[in-house]
Parts: sequence; C-alpha cells; structure tokens
Amino acid sequence: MTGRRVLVVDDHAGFRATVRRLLESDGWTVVGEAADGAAALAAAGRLRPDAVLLDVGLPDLDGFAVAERMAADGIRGIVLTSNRDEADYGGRVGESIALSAATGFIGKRVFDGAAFRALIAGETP
Amino acid sequence: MTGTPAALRPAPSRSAASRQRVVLGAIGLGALAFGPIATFQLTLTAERSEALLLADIAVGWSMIVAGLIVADRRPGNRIGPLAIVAGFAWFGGDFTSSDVAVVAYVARVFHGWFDPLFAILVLAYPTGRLVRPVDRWLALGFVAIQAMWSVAKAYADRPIAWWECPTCFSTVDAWVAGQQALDPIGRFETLVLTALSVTLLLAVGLRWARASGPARRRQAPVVLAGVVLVLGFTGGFLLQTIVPTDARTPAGELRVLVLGVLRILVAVGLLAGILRDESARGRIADLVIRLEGLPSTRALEGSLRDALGDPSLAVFRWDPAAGSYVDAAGARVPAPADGPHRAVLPIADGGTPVLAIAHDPALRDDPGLISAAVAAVRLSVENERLQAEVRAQLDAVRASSARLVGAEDAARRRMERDLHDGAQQRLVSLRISLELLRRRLGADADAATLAELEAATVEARTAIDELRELARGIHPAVLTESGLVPALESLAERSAMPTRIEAALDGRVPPEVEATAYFVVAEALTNTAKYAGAGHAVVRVRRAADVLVVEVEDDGSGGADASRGSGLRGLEDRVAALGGSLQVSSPPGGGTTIVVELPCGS
Repeated sequence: MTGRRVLVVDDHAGFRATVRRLLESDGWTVVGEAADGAAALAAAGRLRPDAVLLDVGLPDLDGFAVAERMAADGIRGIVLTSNRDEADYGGRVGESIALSAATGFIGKRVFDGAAFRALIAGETP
Repeated sequence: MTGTPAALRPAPSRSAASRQRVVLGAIGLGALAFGPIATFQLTLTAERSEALLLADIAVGWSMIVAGLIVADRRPGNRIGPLAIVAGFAWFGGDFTSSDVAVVAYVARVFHGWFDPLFAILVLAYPTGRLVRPVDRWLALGFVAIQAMWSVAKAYADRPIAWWECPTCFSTVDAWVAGQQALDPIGRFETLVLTALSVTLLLAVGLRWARASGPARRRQAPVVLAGVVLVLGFTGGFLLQTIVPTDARTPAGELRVLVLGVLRILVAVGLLAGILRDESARGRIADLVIRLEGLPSTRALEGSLRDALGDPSLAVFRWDPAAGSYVDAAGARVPAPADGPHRAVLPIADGGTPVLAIAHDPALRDDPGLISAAVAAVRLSVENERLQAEVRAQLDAVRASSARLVGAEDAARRRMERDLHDGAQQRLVSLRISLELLRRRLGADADAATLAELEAATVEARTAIDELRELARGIHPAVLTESGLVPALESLAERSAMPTRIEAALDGRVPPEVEATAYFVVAEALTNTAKYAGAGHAVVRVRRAADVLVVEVEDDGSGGADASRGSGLRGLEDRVAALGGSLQVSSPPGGGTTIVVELPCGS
C-alpha cells in the first residue's frame, strides 16, 4: 500500500462526515471533500489523492463521467459508491471498471472500511 | 316497403302495422265482392253495354285500390281512407237501380256523394289536409250543396208506405210528381256544382301554372281531376237542360265512358303522385345519410338540390369570425332574404345562426318535404356540434388520464429517490456510526454493551434492507438509472423462471412508458411463474416508429383467462390511459403471449 490519502466526493454532508470518521479510524488521511463533480475534479487535480471514494449520484456530473475524467488525469484507486445497488446501473459499473476508470463499486448499504480497503489493496500492486 | 327511415314517418309498431294490413286486406276483399254486386244492380232496370259496366266497376275499384295502397304506404295520410270511401260511394250510387225499393231509395238519397268526396280528395292532395282557405271553402261548398240535394231527395223521393211493402215502388203518380218537384232543385244543384268545379279547376290550374319542376308534376293529377269534375257537371247540366238524356242513349253512354276513364286516370295520378312523394322521402333519407358529419357547403348544396329537385337552391354558411354569411365559394354575402324568386330558411343551433338555405318558393307547396330536408340538415348540424363536443371531451379525458399516469409515475420516482437518498442514507450513516462506536469501545468493553451494539447494528442493516425492498416496490431504481432494458434484465435475473430478454431499443422512452412496460412484464412473469407451468419465458422489446412494443411469451399450458392475474387487468387501464393496448393470446396448450403497445412519440 503506497498511500493513505483519500478524497471523499458526495453531495450529502452528513454522509461525508460519517465516512470521514470511518476512513480516519481505518488509518486513512482524508485530504479533501467535494460535493459535486466539478469540485471533485478540481480537488483531485490539486490534491492528487491515492484513493477516491466517489458517489455516483452527484448533482452535476454523474460519478461515471467524473471517474473517467479523473482516470484520464492519472488518478487511481477510484471507488464508486451509491445509495443504489450496482445492478441498478445496468452494466455501467462494469463498463467503468473495464475502461480502467473505476477500481470497483461498493453500495452505501454495505459500505465498510474493510471492503474499501480490500478494493484499494486489490488495485495497488 | 321503401327505405324511408322510421323517423320520417309516423312509425306504427310492427304488430299495429300488420293489424292494419289485415284491415286493409279485408276492405280490399270487400271491395272485390261489392263492386260486381253494385255494378250488377245497373242491369236490373235497363240494358247496359258491357263497356259501361266495365267502366263503372273500374272507376270504383281504381279508387279503392289507390286508397288501399296509399293507406298502406302512408298510414298518417287521410287521402287513403278518403279514396276508399269515395270508391265505395261510387258503387253505392249503382244501387239506385236496385229492385228493392228501400235500397233504391237510400241509394238515390245518397247518390252523387262520390263527386264531393272526389273534390275533397283532390283538394287535400297530397298531404291529406285542406291547407288553403280557398280549398276549404270549395270543399265546404261541395258538401253543402250535396247535403241539400240529399235532403231534398229524401223528402221528394220518399216511398209511400214502404214499410208495408218494402219491395214496392211508390205509386207511379207520386213518383212522377216528386221527380217534377225535384227537377228545378236538381238543375240548381248541378249549376252550383258546375260553378264550384270551374272554381276548383281555376284554382288548381293557376297553382299548376305558377308551379315549377317537381311541384308542377305533382299538381298534374289534381288539374286532371278538376277537368273531370267540370266536364262531368257541365256535361250533365248541358245534357239535362239542352238535350235531356241519360246514360242509356249512345251520347250519354259515351260521356259516362269518357268520364269513367278520366276518373281512373285521376286515381292512378293521385297514387303515382303520392308514391313519387314517397320517393322524395327516400331522397330525404339519402340526404340524412349524405349529411353525416356535416359536409362542406358546396356538397351540402348539391345534396339539397338533388333531394328537393331545386337546381336554384343555395346554401350559405354563417362565419362567426367574419360576422356574415359566406356562400359555397367562400365569398362573404349579405344576409340572404326572402324575395319573389327565392325563399330563405335560416338554420340556427342553440340561438347561433349556422346556415341559411335559399330555395325556390314553389317548394313551399310541399311543406312536408322541405321541413324534412331542414330537419335532416338541422340534425346534421347538431350532430356535428355534439360530436365536436364529445371529441373535445374525450381528448380532454385522454390527456387527463395520461397526465394522471405521468404524475403518479413521477410521484413514485420521487418517493423512491427520497427513500434511498434520505432515510436509507441516514440509516447507513447510523450503521457506520455504530461501527465506529464499537471500535471506540474496543475489545475489552462490557460484553452486554457490545451485544446491545451488535443488536442495534443488525437492526440498522435489516431496516436498510427492508427500505430497499420497499423502494424497489414503489419504483425500481434501475428503471430510473438505466432504463427499460437493464430493468427488464434485472427482472429476468430475479425471476424464478429462466427468462431471456431480446431487446432492440436505442435510447430512452418517456418514464411513464418505461414504467408501464416494466410493470406489465413484471406482472406477466409473475403470472407465468405462478400458473402457467412454463419452462422458460422470452421478453421481446422493440420500437416500431413511435410505438414501443413489448411481448412476453412463455411455453406454458396457455388457457389464461381474464380472471387470472387481476394485476394485469389493472395495468390494462394504465396502458389505455397512455393510449396503448394490451392483448393476451393464450390458446389452451399453446403457451401465453402478452403484447403491449405503448405510444412513445415526442
């Protein structure tokens, strides 16, 4: 594991705060938070995080588009999350992973530190 | 019978009509028997030529037959009964030659009533009513003079002590004296009747000369009847006063024959006129059909010209925007008004002018025909307005139903989103907080506290799962997020039965269409799994032009009926509200195919 710096992107402040405490409890450093796609892309370019927890349902861009552009910017360790299940997005999560944009998807319903860690660990050689 | 619609004639019930036919048939049979008996009377007192006897029976029969046919075809028209009575009156006159004194007396008293009946008949033709004052006065005159004559004969001709010898004639002396007394009265009567006949001929002749087209043709038998009456009475007057004679001389016989033939012609003419009127009514019936859905002004004009036989007829339509009438060519015209050569009939609907019909004033001679035509046009005008109203209401109801379905769908989507992004998100935060709490307490915490914490975590997880199911039931998130095909694929994955999705659908269709199609497939697959005993199912989705077509086919036992899957019935309403259709084909043993078509144009 090369880095522990994470960016949290979610339009819901309450969830951001909760997940920040969880990730910090797991030893991550939450270097930034963003509430929409544009802010997320700006923060990622500035902060160059080692991992991104990215909500799919953002008010401006959807998470898939944000992931694609972040990946194009060289950001790795992008984990998609959502209030909905992976299956609700048809094949789009799979497509995003296939494009090497997203590393994986964890529904908020089942979100926990271990699953997040496992995904990032799988990504990092 | 003809094709005249029931609305245009007083329509007796079927049984009443057949009862009337029985009565008419009985009258016909009676006339058949009565005619020869009456004519036979003529041979009792004198030698008569066969031609004369034939003419006598033919006149009576032709009147009665014409009357019977008219009574059958036009039950409300008094011409029929009047002609029948006139025919019997004709035969009644023959009994003046009876060898039974009483019969001969009664016959003599009523002899001559054929002519006033005949006159009334032609005056009342073709409607059966005496409309014009001159006609009424003429009819009254004929009846009055005949009644006076009957009274005079009843007195002067009275048999002497006939109750002692019903078969005896009066004594010859008394009879001759009576006849002499009657003679001046008889001449006076003939003179008055001649004058009345000439007046009648003048009246109907003028009417005929002024009429044009169909009205003129219609009046022809009336004019002929006038000629018959005039010839009959003037001839009788001349023969009575100048060359005293009777039917037994060759000249008298010729006169009777000629008059007989003319009377038959009148009967045939009246019948033909009324039947032609019948065909006019047939044309009105055609008009009613041609006016279905109020045609253009030009077409309406053409139809009315045909139906009324008036090539000068013109139709003007009221243009509310211009505030004036426009003609068939669409040009504005001043409000049409009555003139010497045209009569104007305005047609309004609920106080608003709609049309004006300008026609030949001669058509007023047949008020029945013109009012039937106007009724047809009015019917069409009202029909058109009612249909437009119904169409507008139907459109409003359809649009309203579609809006309701759309609104319901939007409400469901919003509810689903609120559940996921609101309540569920907070429960997820709660669960994570509980996890963080557990971490803080550490492994050496109180076991009871840890157990309580674990129980709370389990509760939170359960609540999250239940909320997810609830949200899915309200509206599947996959439908909102990914569209119909992924939603159907997700449905197929969850289905208890192997289900294949064959989709050819690019892009999205309106959300309420997606949702309706989705719920139909979900319901169909549920029914198939529950009842059909199917091995597998196929769902086909395609878009043909602006219609989304979704088919669900299974290889089950078929024979699905309406009672099976009431959920599908409910969805049928939803489909109909969106202007779509849902068909279930389920032959026993042949599997079940459900096809739903939903318009999805912009």
